[in-house]
Amino acid sequence: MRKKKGTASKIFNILFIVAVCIALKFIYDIYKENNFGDFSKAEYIANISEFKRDNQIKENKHDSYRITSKDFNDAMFYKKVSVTPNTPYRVSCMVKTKNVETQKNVSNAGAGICIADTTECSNTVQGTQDWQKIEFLFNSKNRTEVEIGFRLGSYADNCKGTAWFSDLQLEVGSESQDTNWNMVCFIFRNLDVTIEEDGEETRIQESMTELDVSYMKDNMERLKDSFKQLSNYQMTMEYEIIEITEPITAVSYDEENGYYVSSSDVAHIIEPYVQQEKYDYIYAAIKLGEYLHDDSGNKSTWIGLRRNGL
Amino acid sequence: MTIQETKAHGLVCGGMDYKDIGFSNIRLPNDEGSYIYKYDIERNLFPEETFIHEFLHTLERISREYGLDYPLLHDYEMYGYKVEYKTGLRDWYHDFMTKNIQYNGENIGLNSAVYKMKPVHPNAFQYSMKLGLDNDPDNIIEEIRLIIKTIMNSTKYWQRSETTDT
Repeated sequence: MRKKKGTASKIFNILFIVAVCIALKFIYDIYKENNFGDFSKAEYIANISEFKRDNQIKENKHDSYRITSKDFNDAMFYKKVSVTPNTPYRVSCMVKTKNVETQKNVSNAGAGICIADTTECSNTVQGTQDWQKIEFLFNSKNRTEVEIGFRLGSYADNCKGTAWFSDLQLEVGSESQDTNWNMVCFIFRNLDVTIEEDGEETRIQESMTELDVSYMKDNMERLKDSFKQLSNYQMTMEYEIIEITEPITAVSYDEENGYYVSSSDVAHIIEPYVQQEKYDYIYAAIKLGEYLHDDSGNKSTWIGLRRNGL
Repeated sequence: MTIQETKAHGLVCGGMDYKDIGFSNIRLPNDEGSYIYKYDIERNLFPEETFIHEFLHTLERISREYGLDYPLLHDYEMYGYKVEYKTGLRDWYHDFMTKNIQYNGENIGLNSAVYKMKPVHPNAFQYSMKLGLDNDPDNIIEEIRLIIKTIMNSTKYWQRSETTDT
């Protein structure tokens, strides 16, 4: 009888231990699935996006970080990091996406890296893409802390779909002592835009003359000496000229400056060149034509430049 | 008026950028006879002025982002400079870039450090140092340690919450 009771007790103990182990495993799995460590989570519209760790789709032995937005949203997980002012940093990660769509037609949103509450961000990944590495270079400037975010969305647009992030890395580089600026002048030879004003559409086509192009080239060459002289040799410059025949198809407008070409208007054209990551400054030489650019009016040139007689 | 007050009162033209690289328009005139970008001994000895001007707006933006003092590029009249017929604002740009503007007994202008503050390129990471960003444990001991740390932090958070509540 005593032996039977002992056996039952042992079986009960074993079952109890197994049950405890199963319960612990269950809790551990929930913990692992939701453990974002020191990262905080944020979303523009609450409860649209789901933040999980994924042990099925992962790029290395660690579970990946997954953001799923059922509807259009801007979601990210981020971490406050101490930085040394005026120092270059590189953040990188592997990213994989599934059905990532942007809310706006033309958008730089997607899965990417950013500094929270700024417009500083990496290139992004959209659509359905396998694992790929993305990098984001930034200078801390006068900051001592930044919030590095891994984001599905952007500061200007929302996304839906799923993004997985893995192998999150941060590197600190060395401060540059180089005062030679590598500049590029994109000469946009052609413009073909349609402007809508008061419900009426006007198509504007404009091309530079060979003389216009030669003036731009002459001035870039003159700049080399001018920068040396004006700065007392504290800075120098080198340059490249890239002539673009593909027409500009979008322009921007503001009250102060009138029509102009913003970087986002020509991003798709200049991006392949800028991707080489060697330029320090970009000039975009453009000819807007009489409809968009009044030589004699207040919006003819940037403030402070000569107009009289020229 | 101090430099800081000047900034507060004036228009701060940051200049555009593309991925932290300064970006500016050089708009060509419609008038084929314009001399704005043409060197001419009688009319224009400084046709590259627009290029300089726009670049200096980017140096203004960089100075602001790095917390460096600078006078506003458009405030040349306030400091006694004027647009010359053949050379535009060349003298102003020189003194602006070399910190040689006389103002209230001191020299002001761009801080020379700004010339080194270029966009970050990959060559800055030739001998880079890796910093921790992802705290995922590599083995069971680290895993247990992390769980304990998480529980301890949660406990601290609850204690703080209770203290705040009371």
